[in-house]
Amino acid sequence: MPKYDVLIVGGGVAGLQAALAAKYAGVQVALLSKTHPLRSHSATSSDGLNAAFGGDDSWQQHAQDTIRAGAGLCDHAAVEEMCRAASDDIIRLDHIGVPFNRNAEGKLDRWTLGGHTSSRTVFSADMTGHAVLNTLHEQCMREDIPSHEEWLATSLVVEDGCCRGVLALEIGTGNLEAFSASAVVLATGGAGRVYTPSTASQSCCGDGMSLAYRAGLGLRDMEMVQYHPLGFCERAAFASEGALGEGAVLCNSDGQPILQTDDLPLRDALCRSLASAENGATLDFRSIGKERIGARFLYLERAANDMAGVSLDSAPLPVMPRMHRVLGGIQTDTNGATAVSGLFAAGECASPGVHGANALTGNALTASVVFGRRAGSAAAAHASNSSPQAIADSALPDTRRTLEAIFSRPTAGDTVVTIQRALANTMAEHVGLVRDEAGLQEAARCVADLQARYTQVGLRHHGKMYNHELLTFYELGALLDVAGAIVTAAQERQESRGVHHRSDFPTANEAEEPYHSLVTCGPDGPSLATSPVNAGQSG
Amino acid sequence: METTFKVYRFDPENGSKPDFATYQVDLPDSATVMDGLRQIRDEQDPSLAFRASCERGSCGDCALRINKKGRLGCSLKIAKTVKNGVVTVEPIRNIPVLKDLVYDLEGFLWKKIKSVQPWITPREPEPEGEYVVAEEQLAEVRKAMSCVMCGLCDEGCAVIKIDKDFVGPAALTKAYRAVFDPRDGQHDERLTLVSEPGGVWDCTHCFEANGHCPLGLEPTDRLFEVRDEAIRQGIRSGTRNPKVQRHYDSFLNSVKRSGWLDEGRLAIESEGLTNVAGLAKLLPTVIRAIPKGKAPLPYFHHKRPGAEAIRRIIDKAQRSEV
Ligand SMILES: Cc1cc2nc3c(=O)[nH]c(=O)nc-3n(C[C@H](O)[C@H](O)[C@H](O)COP(=O)(O)OP(=O)(O)OC[C@H]3O[C@@H](n4cnc5c(N)ncnc54)[C@H](O)[C@@H]3O)c2cc1C
Ligand code: SF4
Ligand code: FES
Repeated sequence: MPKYDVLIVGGGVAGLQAALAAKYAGVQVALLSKTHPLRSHSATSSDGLNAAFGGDDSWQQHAQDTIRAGAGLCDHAAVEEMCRAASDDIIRLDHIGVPFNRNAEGKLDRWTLGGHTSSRTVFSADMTGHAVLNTLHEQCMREDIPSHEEWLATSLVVEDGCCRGVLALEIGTGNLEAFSASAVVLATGGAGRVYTPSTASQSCCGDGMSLAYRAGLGLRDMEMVQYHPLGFCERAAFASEGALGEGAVLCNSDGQPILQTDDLPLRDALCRSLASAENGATLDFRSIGKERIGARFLYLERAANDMAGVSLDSAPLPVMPRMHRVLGGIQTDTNGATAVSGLFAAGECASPGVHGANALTGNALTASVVFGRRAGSAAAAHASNSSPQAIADSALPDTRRTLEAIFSRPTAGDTVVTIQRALANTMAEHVGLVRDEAGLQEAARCVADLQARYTQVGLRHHGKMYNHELLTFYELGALLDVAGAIVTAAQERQESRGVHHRSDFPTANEAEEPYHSLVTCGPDGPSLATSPVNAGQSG
Repeated sequence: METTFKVYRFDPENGSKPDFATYQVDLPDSATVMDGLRQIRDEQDPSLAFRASCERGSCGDCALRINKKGRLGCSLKIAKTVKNGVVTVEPIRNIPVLKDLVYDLEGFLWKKIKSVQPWITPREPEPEGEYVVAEEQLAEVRKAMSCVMCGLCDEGCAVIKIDKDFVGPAALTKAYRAVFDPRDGQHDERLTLVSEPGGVWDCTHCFEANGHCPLGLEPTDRLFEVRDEAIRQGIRSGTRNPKVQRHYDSFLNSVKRSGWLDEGRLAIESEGLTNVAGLAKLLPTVIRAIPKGKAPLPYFHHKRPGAEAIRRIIDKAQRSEV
């Protein structure tokens, strides 16, 4: 049984930051991820990282903008922590080699994006996530951090209220293994595939959210689902919002501009107006010029050519809103700690409370960088005060038997793929940009029905090596948990707030104090509680 | 659009030999090869294994050989590659196949990337804020870093085909990223490292890597630039292959002396005049070359007309380098 002080589950930006922080703290740390770290969804993140770098900006101003966007649901202490730490973290990333764009003085260049009152988004062309991921991966190689790649964490081992490690399946061989660790950091990323169309990579299935949920933890603010306004029409790809900051023009089907670029709105407002635009919209780069397009939109220029057949300097790119990410996640404090001792979470799977009901563009990657580091340090500190306990011998055989039972199910017409498609379509149709009670009820009914089908569905392929159907089986289980949490929280929130827009309750409920939704796994399915928003200053 | 997919299948679990299987797919005109593979796996044969993650050409996970050319499956439309209604899909070449279209990148790519130690060690003194660097200096680093580690340049590389120890264009493009990053403090150490056997000097200039990179990153040119930078820094060989430096010196001295290359002398001087074992290895080549007229005997290397002018050009170039 592999034994570590700290095990990081997930090799994206948050996971690599956590791994490095734990390593620097002097503990034995390892990574475990279902894809190679460089294939993580972070590689597609294009918009940049936010921090105040002095001048007429301050971290307090960044915090205020974040809180304003969050529409009453931001945890102020978490926001302050992020905004205060972001500039140092970004400088550190610069020192270890992220090739951030420079201005004429050779200093960090910055974009002004929607909802920000200052230019504070640093970027590496439109491949910031890719550049940060690669740079952190370089440092992980340098630190010789062991990395278990193509391993899927299938469950957490929690005994006496303490996390002891994870059980995981090696995708290439079908082997099950227990990984024992004094502290586990979940950094498994988002759950975008619970919708279609979305901007998500194949790996975004809410695995970590589901692992925590099944271990009894609460998922917070799950009804807050953000769309990206600049998605490609037929592909998961999207244009960086930096395009609007650079002067690309968003137009309706007649080529008429539908946006003043000197006053960029928040994403949700933009998405709702685009979704209601008949005949779609386009993003026109022609005024930017070929040279600048090449320098600033390294990725988009190629992607538009390959996947949309559009040459940006000669024709506008058709765009549409696509589901982008769930803003909520596993409830944590600002150290990534959860209610289970020894279990931490960071990045897109976690909710330290910085996004509230609507996230500012660039704050997601920033949160992964800041809270990934903090979770890694806190996990290392936790591990230093305890030693890894062996995982009970019964854990693996139990899981093996469960797996055998799944393989022995009869294969009728239903498949994991048909269930997954039905789920994603249901979520898009009824729990999308605009919601109402009837739609949410229908979604709840569908999700419960799909859950029931899931408990019966058999696998057609029984091979052990790279069995994608088995992988999908696990991922679908997670997606169903996440969908249940989203629908439950969305039904309960009878108001419109941030990205959660209800046509039957079109305004915020100002009569009550704003509250977080918190969904836990009850005996009869998702169970909802609420908790007050921490709107106080940090200490 | 109806398309026939001919897909490489290999499953070590059932002990069968590798073979191609044929599937019919029907997809919209905008569909990619990856869409085709997914339709096959989801609707016809769940045992088909392939890798894919980002689905938009950002992560490099889906590198495949499609109609005999290395491509990213997620970024290639069927309509752009289909030939007579057929799309053939295979794993990339020169690499151990694990199952179907899934292959083992560990030794082929990841170990080699790590071997060039492509991480930045902040140059001293570390500034308090960001490093002040001209945008032009970082622009090419950024472009090289946009590499998605698909390994397609390595699969096209003529040297890796015959010498698995060549670190290859992908790892050397990664080295480029570090070598030309003005913030790095390990410049010369890395240049020495990539000048060792298996490094930049093992490239034979076939330029295949440039043609194979789906992002147009020109890995061959980047490898050359790393090598040129090593020469500029006076690093003409690693610590373990002094032959490179001897080859370089002999080449230059020959052209300076006679105006052209004295190939016989180059071979001998590259091995080293006191390297008996190395020189003995040349003999069979010479013996084979004689009957084909490739090694004229008695061997005599003439000074070519204009040699003086050539020498003056080289002198001038060397002075300007200093
Ligand atoms: C397997 C393989 C092995 C290779 N081995 C070598 C190698 O050992 N050395 C090497 O330099 N490149 C080698 N190459 C690389 C490749 O051939 C050259 O880098 C490239 O094609 C030459 O470009 P060029 O334009 O300079 O030469 P070319 O376009 O081929 O032109 C060569 C020029 O050099 C002139 N020339 C020919 N012989 C002499 C001579 N003896 N002295 C002076 N001038 C001469 C010719 O008249 C011609 O003008 C190899 C490539 C491969 C694939
Ligand atoms: S240089 Fe190009 S071909 Fe080579 S690994 Fe990078 S992206 Fe792929
Ligand atoms: S799946 Fe990422 S490049 Fe194709």
